[in-house]
Amino acid sequence: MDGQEELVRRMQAGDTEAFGRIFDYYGTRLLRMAYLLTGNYADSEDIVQETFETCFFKCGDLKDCSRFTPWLYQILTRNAWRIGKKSRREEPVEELPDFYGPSGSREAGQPLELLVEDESRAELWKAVLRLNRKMRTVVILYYYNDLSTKEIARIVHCLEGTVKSRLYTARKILERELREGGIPV
Amino acid sequence: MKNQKEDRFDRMLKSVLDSQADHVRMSPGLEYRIRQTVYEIGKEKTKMKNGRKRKFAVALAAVCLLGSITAVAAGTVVGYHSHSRSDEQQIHSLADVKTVAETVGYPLKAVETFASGYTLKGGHITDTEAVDSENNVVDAYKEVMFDYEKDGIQVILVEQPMADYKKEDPDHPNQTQIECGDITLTYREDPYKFVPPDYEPTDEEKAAMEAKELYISYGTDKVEETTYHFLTWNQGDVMYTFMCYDEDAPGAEELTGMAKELIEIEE
Repeated sequence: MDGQEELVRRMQAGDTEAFGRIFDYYGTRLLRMAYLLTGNYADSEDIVQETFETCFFKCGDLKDCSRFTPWLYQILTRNAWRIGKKSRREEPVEELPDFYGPSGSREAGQPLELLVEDESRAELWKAVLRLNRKMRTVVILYYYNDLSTKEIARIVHCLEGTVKSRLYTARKILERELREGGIPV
Repeated sequence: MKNQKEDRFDRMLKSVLDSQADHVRMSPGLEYRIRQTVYEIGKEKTKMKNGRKRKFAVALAAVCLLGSITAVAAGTVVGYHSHSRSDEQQIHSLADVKTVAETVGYPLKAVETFASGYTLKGGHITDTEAVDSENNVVDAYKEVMFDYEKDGIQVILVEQPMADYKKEDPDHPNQTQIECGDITLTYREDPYKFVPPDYEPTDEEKAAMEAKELYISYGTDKVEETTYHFLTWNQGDVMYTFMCYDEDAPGAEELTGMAKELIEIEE
């Protein structure tokens, strides 16, 4: 984001217009991350609202404005862990709706290989949601946000080696779950 | 170096996450709520002591959530989208209440100053949407928030149309019923703990949260505890709620006295 550091400095001084521009840039991005982390839209709204409130009220604590993005992602992942954890007790993952919905539903005349592809993708998404929160977080930050393992380590507060290990294990679990579901990997 | 199989699997995983994320759009209600909260609280920044602003936002959210536990059990309403219409229909004095009542479509009750000394400082209309688990709007209404103050202590009075899904949870802890003629008032105290973003609740706190005996709100510099006081009742088709949170804020007895003053007002 061009001029982000200046916007963060203005937001630290209480400039709500600067906050608005940061919200424009990160709003949908954070909502999507929250949804991938929890698999629940209602929770994602709560997570994003709390994250932006904390962003505005606590941005003064951020000493180095160039570190704004990882700081923001860190707040989001912590909120997602807390809110998602509470919600999962109320709604087991198995009962989550199939978000492929109409756009992913089978249509008459669709080639067989595309049907298999759809099924594989749906199973993979369900398997991602079944990963534990630490593994799911690094998977999303790595594959969806395109962050490096070093950047992820800063966000989730662990060693880079731990991030690599979680990524490796998560990938193996996902592959195994697909194979067990009869889907070739 | 990755082999071909890993590359194919990695591409598939990235593509699945991208397509799942593409389904997600920010609702206008959420966007408005976030912007409005920050803008309104930002305006208060110069007036409020550090820490009060967040408590104010939490307080407004807490009022929206009153009765929501019953609502979840009913399988319909699971949340609320609210945004205030701060640029119109502001209440500056008691004289504005009649006009606002016409706008919202139900009778409003307010006084200029309660016998306890709390004085009307202002008020505004909030458009609220009750939503189900799929974010479908199942009810929409206007609620009115009156802001009362005495010696820097704030009491918020919220008036909104009554509906079955807003009924109080009878099993909620720290809750007592107070009879006032043929009207039952429900007084409740919810302990909140404001904590830094990296705070990890203890097992004891987790158990208390599970039992709804503690609410944790993230985003402060240091750990701070506050108890919110609520007094709720229904009269006619309107639900009334007093809410306050300062250490010296009125408790059950004082709020009940203020409620009686409103109940006795002829519609």
